[in-house]
Amino acid sequence: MLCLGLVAVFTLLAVYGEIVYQVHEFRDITPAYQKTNLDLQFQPPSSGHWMGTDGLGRDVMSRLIQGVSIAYKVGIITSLIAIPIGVFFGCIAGYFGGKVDDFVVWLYSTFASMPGLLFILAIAMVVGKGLLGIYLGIGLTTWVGICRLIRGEVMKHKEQTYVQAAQALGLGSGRIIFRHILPNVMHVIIVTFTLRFPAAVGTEVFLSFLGIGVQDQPSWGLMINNARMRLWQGVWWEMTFVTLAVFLLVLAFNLLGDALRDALDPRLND
Amino acid sequence: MTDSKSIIEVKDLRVHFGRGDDLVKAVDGVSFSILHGETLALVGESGSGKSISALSLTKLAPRQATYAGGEVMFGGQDMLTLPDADLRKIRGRRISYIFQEPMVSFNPVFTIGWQIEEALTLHRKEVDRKAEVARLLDLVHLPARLTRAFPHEMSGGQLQRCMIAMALACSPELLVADEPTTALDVTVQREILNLLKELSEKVGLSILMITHNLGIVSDLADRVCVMQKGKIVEEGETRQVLDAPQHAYTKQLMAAVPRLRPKK
Repeated sequence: MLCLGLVAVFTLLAVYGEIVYQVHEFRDITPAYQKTNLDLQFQPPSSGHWMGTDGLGRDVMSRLIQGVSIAYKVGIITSLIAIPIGVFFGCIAGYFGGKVDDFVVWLYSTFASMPGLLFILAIAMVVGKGLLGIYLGIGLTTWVGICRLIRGEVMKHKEQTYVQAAQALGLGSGRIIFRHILPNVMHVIIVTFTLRFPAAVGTEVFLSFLGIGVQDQPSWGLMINNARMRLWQGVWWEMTFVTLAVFLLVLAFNLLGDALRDALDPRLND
Repeated sequence: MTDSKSIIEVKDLRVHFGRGDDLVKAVDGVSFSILHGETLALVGESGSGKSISALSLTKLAPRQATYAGGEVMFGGQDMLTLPDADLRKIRGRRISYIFQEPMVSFNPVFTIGWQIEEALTLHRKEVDRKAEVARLLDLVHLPARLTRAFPHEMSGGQLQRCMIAMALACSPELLVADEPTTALDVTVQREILNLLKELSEKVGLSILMITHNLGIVSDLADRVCVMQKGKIVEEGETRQVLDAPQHAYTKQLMAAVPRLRPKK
């Protein structure tokens, strides 16, 4: 329940951050979280700036909230890329078997054999630094796991009598796969989504930290990277709060994923 | 030699599994035909090839199976050589199946009504589906409110009735019942069998009944084929086969029937 609450809070923050971003973009003015004020460098947390300010005098809290919105975009868009690909290939491989299966297994083995980070770096180099590279890179590498899971589930369901009954009714393969088997493996997709989400966020933070991710937006990775320089000078707040935010987000989603699995997996129910 | 009275003719059907040393001849040269409105029973022990023969009528046998020979003539066409798209038009519309275990023959995530409607959407687009589902459920003596029930909310007997309703949705010419009562308890078995009997008389349905229960055979079937190890070893009118079995295997089957008063 606590994790659900946390996820809800993060979601609200993300929506709020996105609205703030869009409004400022629309009015073409510099938003508060981008305003630099060199008089207010490295202010510790106070009533004016709850989480202090960074090296350019920007409010850490408002940047943190923008970071939530970036993290959500990464989580959702990479899932939107990875899940359809994984589900589609997993379904046809599991259902048809034979040559189709061989091809899909070959395809995902090829993807899986490349170090994911290297692949993401390569894609980021091709499409240029920034969010697009992150979306494509993470999206195109993570469908493998989903594909494998779905393939296994579909193979299991294919042998069930209700599939045979559907065939005996004269249904086509496409309809059997997507109308009959897919709803039965939906829980796998939902659970995988909640577990992929924090992983994608983590990867984004990491890539932005390395400098190949987000460029001018306040991403958590960039903030951690900036904060690490001043940490030894006693500027602890930026690092602490950002790390805490990443930790809480990842923890909340993982707990939610586990809870969903307990609730949705038919095998654990009975 | 096509007899216009018979609805389906199976000639020398051979279905094999595996190859080389592992070759299993699941169905090894089986021939039978079913007349209009007739109920034919296919009897035999587990693994004698009766289910595979029945599934092969519309090429539904598992993917690993190879159709090594023979033909299945239905409506003037050989089902074994028909392309998949044409087969799908026959499955469910002209030849329907009822399976052994009603509990797992329905998709667990959809309501009964949805699943019966699907059969209608597929083969009979013009009918009023809601009314038709209600009519079908009434035909198998179930209340119409069950359309909104999910499979796990119903009993085995109710589900088997729904299965029959679904199979009858497109008024098929042939109903293949693959051990329709094996998974049900005895009193429910009786109800289902009476229902099938009633329907075959009312609608003039031809039924291929697969079973290992000779009680069902004597009750329902007009003719019997006894199968052993992929071959038909005895064939004939029900009474004749049951009263005076010729083949040793049939005698063995007869002797295995449990009796209320064992012969001394």
